[in-house]
Amino acid sequence: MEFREYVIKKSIFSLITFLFVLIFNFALPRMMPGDPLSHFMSSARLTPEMQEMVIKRFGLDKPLWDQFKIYIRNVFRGDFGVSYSFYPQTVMEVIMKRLPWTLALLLISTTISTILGVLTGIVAAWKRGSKLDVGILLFSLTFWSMPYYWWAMMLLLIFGLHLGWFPLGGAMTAGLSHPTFFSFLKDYLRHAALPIFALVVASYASRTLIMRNTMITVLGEDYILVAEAKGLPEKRIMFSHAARNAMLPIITMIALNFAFIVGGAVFTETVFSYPGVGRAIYQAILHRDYPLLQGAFFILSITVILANFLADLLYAKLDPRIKY
Amino acid sequence: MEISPFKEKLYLLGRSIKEFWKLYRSSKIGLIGLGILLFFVAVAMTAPIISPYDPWQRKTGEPFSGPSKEHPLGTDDMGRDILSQIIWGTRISLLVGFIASLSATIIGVTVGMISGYFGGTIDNILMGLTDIILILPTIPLMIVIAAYLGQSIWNLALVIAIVSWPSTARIVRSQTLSLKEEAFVEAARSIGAGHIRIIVSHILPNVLPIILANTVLMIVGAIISEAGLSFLGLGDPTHQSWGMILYYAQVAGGFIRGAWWWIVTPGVCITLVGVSLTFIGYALDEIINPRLRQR
Repeated sequence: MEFREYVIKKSIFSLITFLFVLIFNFALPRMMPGDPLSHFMSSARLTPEMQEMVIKRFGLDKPLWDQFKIYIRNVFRGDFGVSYSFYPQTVMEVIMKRLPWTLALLLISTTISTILGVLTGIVAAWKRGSKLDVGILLFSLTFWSMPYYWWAMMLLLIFGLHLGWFPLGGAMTAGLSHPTFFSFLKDYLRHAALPIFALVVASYASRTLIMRNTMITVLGEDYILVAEAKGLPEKRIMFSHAARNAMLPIITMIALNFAFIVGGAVFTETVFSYPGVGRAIYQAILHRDYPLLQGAFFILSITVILANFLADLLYAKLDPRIKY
Repeated sequence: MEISPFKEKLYLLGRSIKEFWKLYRSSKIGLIGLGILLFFVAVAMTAPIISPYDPWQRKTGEPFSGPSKEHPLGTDDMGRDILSQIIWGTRISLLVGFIASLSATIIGVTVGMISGYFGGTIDNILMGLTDIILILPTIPLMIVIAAYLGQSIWNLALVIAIVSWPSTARIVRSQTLSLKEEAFVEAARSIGAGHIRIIVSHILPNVLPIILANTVLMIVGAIISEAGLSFLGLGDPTHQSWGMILYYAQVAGGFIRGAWWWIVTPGVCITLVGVSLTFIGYALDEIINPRLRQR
């Protein structure tokens, strides 16, 4: 199979996943028991006129097929309806305003946890069975079993509430203007430090465990033995021969892990009152703001599908052995 | 003397359990994990006896009071005893974790075996679905479904099971693919065994040990997910799980007032149970997949 065919295959899978999300989002509120109308109007506070408007907007008085057509048209216009908890903002406005904050958190924390995880994974595998290895293993297994929202709460309790080193919430100091980029960055990092730290810890453990495992497999390969027999220095074998090959599965993992870390953002942003999509989801839960919940799920799913698609392409480019 | 086939099976089962225990006993990590888990199971079973107060009873002490002799873990905003809540919460958290993981395993094993055994179009459709669920953002997916389903511990277990079966299905499928080429399956087929018979009595028994460790590890994820969904306000208000305690601590001002005793213990309990199950899963994996031991 050619590279082009591989790309087409992966594109088709991404497209099918996208269609799945599309249909899932349409079907979910209509599949649930009870009056479907109640799923579109979470609060009873809506006036009859507003109810009328909602029914019209979603075409709830029409047959299912017509509803589906209205739904598809709305989605491709980026119209997910009006959010109840952020009324009168539309769902799209609410999400788009918050998405950059969330993406920045996710990108920074993913980068840090990947570098840390890969490095400690390499060391643990190289010194397999040593005290250091067992230490790294126990540390990762413990953090793997720890609920990260609780871990985030602990961080905030200690460093925010008791020591007062970091602000208790928000993404920027309210009312503060930033004349230089540097002062902006400083304010941003002061607010983002704890959320990033919490997210790094949440995803670090699985990275280092996977890296350690693949590293151990690679270290058993013949070419490592050859490198040792040639008398190459240890560091060179460790990084240029073993780690480079063990890195490959990490790429797929980062992509798959993205699905998990997006959820981590929901908890982290909730605990730190960080104004991202995750916190909007929390507020949507509290108000049973179904349009916002569905819109957020839709946008996050698309983000994750795209990330996976890119990772697949990157993987194919990096590993010449891949069977397309 | 004649030995009935049932007695013989029982004897063989007993012997293999004994042998298994002998291997398991050699794993220090596995024993520590088992010890911690048994402790929590004991707490869950004896909750009515060891709990000092009714977990729902208000004004057992001053609201927001820290650890003391009467209340070793302090009280919440309504003066309810937190230790009693933790003890009763053990029941709910373990129960939801076990049920969710077991259901996910049942779905995963069924899908994986059908997919691997029959192959073809069925395989493509089932594995396509599996991959789709694997890719989608797990927690937002659980949140959306849970928000519509309504708040009960059964719904939480259901939601967790719905999103966690795919990894099991993948493992089982690849195992089934190689098992169905084995000689004993061929032999069963040649004497006229049907598909269902081959799947149930020849493939299933060989698949189960492999996914045992996976199922144990999935309980960890299920307990953390249950607590997480409860923490976000999707929990069952009529049952006090560890996650619900954290939820109340967050919304009732326990956090802002610095009531650390209200927040620390639930998390420690979840982590301890999580670590114990992870250790058990790790030990099981080393016994069942001996390749790992030799490396």
